[in-house]
Amino acid sequence: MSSKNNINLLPKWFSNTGTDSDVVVSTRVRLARCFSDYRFPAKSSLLERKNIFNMASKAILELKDCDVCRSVNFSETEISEQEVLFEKCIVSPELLSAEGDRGVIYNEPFDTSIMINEEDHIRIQSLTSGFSGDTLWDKVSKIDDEIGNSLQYAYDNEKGFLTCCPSNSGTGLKISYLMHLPGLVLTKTIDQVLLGASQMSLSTRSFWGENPSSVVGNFFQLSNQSAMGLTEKQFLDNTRDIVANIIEYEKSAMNKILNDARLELEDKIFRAYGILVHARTLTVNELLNLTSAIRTGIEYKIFNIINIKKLNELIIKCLPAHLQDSVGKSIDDDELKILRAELVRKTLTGKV
Amino acid sequence: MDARICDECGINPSTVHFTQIIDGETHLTHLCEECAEKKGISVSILSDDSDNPDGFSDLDMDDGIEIEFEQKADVQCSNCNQLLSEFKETGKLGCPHCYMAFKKDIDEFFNQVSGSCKHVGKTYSKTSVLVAGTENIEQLRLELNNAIRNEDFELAAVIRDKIKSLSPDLLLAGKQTIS
Repeated sequence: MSSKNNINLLPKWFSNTGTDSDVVVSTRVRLARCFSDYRFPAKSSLLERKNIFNMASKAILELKDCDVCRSVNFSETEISEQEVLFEKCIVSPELLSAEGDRGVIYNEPFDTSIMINEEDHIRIQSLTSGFSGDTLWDKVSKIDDEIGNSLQYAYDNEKGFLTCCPSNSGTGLKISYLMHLPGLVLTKTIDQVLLGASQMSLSTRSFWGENPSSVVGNFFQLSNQSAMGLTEKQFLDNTRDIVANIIEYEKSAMNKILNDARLELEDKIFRAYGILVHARTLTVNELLNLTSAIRTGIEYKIFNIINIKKLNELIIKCLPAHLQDSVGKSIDDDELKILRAELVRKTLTGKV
Repeated sequence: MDARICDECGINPSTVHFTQIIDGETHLTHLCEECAEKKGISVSILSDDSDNPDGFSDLDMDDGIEIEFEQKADVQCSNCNQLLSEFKETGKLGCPHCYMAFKKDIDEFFNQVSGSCKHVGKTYSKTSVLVAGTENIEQLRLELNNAIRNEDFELAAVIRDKIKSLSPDLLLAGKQTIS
């Protein structure tokens, strides 16, 4: 399947249409499940993985009221297409590096997908723009019920749903919030806030950074650390409450900056704009850091050069695999940087 | 999965695990004894110029005393052959039966990370309670031995009862009795 169909589609979770989507860019709910009569993927044979892939695919494609229909087997797919799906947040890097039959079945808006043979046999996930967990949980749980009816999950009364890593067993639930927190970063209170979150059992990491602790683009991902010992609703409520507090901290940090240091903030934002519209080369990290400033400028009504949805679309298009795919042939890093800068100039000013 | 191999030579199994923290980043290296010594990482508590290498000074003991220490046996899952040591190193299990084979260590892990090792969320009614779902007496016997070796006597009692409950059926079917 050509990925040409994919590259122009902005994933819905990045569409800036949800509640509080200026701070909580998107929410994701994911369930990890394994089947009872098979070894977990890493320990299983290639034949077992093939059987699991076929069995799971069949059950998933037969789901009623679920629009997942595009099925990809990574063992038969070009790495370039795998990377495009990774950049849209449909699959994890672990799926790319695993072996044998594995892949994903997803829907066109890229907001619901089920990975097969990643760390667990299946991982059902749904994402949405903005701050929301409950509707996602309902959606994912319904899919889970249907699959659990036609196939046999590994489950124990005491330990719940059994997964490859015990840290995912129990509910198998992971709720993740993607947050844009420039105010906390600028006021140097981000470490404190993230530390507080981790003490309340949320794990935190930098979203874009290759290294979980290096800040890039002021994007952070917060998720529940454990999946055991509470009901799914309790996990949802607890994480929601903590994130609601963080939204308040972020907004109050930004208000403080606007009151006490507006000029400095505007200076940073306009300088970022200057680089974006004039630079002849741009790395991914530069793009992410500079567009964070633009995003902040638009959200706090400092300027109105582009709408956020188009900004997000630009970011996705400028990610390496997407950019590579739009060219249609393999180009080296230096050419990618030039192309990226061109695309940014064209999008922000209409001129190249 | 193989036991971990030395990061340096890629040949010998690694027995020395060297942790360095540089600029707040943790680097973990796994080395065999030879490579560790070559890198100057001392694997001996005694320094080379210890003046008491044989344990007792002034005594005429040429060979020291040889004692074999019995190492705590590594537990293995009877279904997938995953070792407990593999789980401790990678945090990953091999199959659903590992939850029973390594119960004690997994419970410890839960108590540390989430403070609870009991699932209270969504239930699944399509059977699959591990012990209740296992009908194979041989497999149960292996799990029983594992539980005893692991000193998990509570689990051992559950498995023993399960084996007992399966035996009347076998007696009726004229098969071999379980002693």
